[in-house]
Amino acid sequence: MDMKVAKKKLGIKERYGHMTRGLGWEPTYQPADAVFPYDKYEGIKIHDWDKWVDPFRLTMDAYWKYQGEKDRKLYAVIEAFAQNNGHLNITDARYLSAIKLFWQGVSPLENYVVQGFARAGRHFRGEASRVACQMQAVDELRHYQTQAHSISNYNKYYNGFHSQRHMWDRVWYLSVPKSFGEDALTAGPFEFLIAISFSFEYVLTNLLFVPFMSGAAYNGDMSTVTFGFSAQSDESRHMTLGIEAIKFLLEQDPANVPIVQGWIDKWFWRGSKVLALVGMMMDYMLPKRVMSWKEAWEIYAEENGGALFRDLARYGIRPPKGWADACEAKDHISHQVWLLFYEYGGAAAFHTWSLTNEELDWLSAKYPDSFDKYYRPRLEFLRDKHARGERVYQSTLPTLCTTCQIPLCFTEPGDPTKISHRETVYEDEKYVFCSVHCQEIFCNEPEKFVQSWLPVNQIYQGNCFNPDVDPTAPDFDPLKAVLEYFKYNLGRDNGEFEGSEDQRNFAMWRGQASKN
Amino acid sequence: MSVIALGPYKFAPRDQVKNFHGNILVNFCWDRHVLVTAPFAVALPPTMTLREAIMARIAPSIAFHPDARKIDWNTVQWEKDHKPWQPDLDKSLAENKVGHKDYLVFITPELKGLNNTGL
Repeated sequence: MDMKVAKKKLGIKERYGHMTRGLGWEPTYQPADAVFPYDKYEGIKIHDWDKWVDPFRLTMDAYWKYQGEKDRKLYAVIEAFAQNNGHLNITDARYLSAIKLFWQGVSPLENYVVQGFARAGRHFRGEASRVACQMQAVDELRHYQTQAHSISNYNKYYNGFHSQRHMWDRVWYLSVPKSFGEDALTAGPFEFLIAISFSFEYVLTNLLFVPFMSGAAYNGDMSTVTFGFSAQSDESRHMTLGIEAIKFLLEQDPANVPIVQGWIDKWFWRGSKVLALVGMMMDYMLPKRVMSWKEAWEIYAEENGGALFRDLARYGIRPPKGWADACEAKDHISHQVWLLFYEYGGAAAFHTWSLTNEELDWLSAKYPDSFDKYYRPRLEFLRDKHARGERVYQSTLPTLCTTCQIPLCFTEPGDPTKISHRETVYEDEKYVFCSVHCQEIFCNEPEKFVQSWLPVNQIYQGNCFNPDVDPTAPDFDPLKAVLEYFKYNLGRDNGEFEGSEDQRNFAMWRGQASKN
Repeated sequence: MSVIALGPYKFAPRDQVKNFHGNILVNFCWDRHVLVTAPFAVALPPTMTLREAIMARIAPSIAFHPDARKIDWNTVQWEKDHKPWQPDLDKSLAENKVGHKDYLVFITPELKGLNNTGL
């Protein structure tokens, strides 16, 4: 008699075990330390890698299935957006500057994170951690690709989207995210994990993705909204990886706590500086505004981050050193960075402009403690000058911070008219910083930051001109030569929005879509 | 502290003076005039006088500020290395002991900035 045997199906937990630890083996002809040479030198002690558990218990086979489904939906929307001239549904061509900055300065960072996680996915000893890192590497590659595919449609019609790879390695303001990414990539795998998975993905990423994607939705950019949604479920998985990773490190050995704390101090501060660019996008570049940078900071950093650090206190972790100063800066940084880009608008590959009275009133209401006193008068002064035909374009290069590489546009905490600056002499060389926290990051690893490729200093060293340029020619214009080296289309990519080709074309095409 | 690394980790500083073709890099910050959004970094021959440096590179860069034309450079107060500093404008940068990557702050206490609020 035949017996019917029920086909045994693996539970999620067993399946996860097989697809992670089950794929590993003990090396026999090489010692494990030779196979994994990078997971001890940072001083982190791991006693039991099997304690690493991915809370989603995601395995590669399920991963491909989910991502494949998301991609199919995403590409259907991107295709429809392109075919229906979706770019004409955005609120205003000024909005494009935010997308340009995202494409120039954030998307390439995704590629750096691919490299970092691919490396961590090779070099951690625990199989489950390697699998999680490999999946995140593939996620980030997908994010870069979907951003490229969504944004390429804008590149057909508007300026400033071309030459992204070329600009990334050269343009002055892009050295801010680039140096952030390279600092993380060249750290050991554990520091990379705390830098990206914890400090950026867990503590700060909501400040980038939530307001940015809501901003896209508010401003009619369905293409960006769709890649945002497609990335969102990955982001929540990355955030969970971040919190699991830090708890795993802290639980493995008490000696890990001070090392991890040092990395949190460093990477929270570095991340908060990079996000000043996002603050500027939210407060100034969105024609329809979602929330102010200050409000976003209060919700996503102060409330959520505050709760997080209360939770981590039981491990002996305190909030990052720069916490109070970063919170104080919420009233100032978006305005300071916008004013910097406005005045250096001739050298940026996106447009800047004067705000309308309604927009200034919105900022006055959102920033009652700072805007009317410190920023509105400056914006109105510059607007009046522009109206008189004297648009301010600064052409003398600014001093850069050796660590974050941002021009010294930030003020002392509690003193909004005093430019903040610090100096350190290390082995007879002087180094300048924007803040005590950037100075401290340098002093902890001076040999790393003496190598900083500071664009302004490189320009003066003569390293930022095309090879055929003759700096001794009588009509030599160094600024123009540098912008040509950046591959800017001068007069089209850069400068004032009012009167720009993007403004004219958008108005004309939208007019054709709605009138005879 | 130093970089934690598996092997020797030592690199030449990227901004040594020898890379600047005979110039030195000097930073200038106008104190409490933040309408000028950031201090300037300019490459200057050390034989240039401080007054020449100001007139050639700094004065034109701040000219859009309404206080700029009221500056009396002969009475400006200076700080270097976070300390008060008294240069001779008509002596060279080298004679004034302005070094590579120094950060000079010029202070004009009688000029209060836009709206008299340090802008």
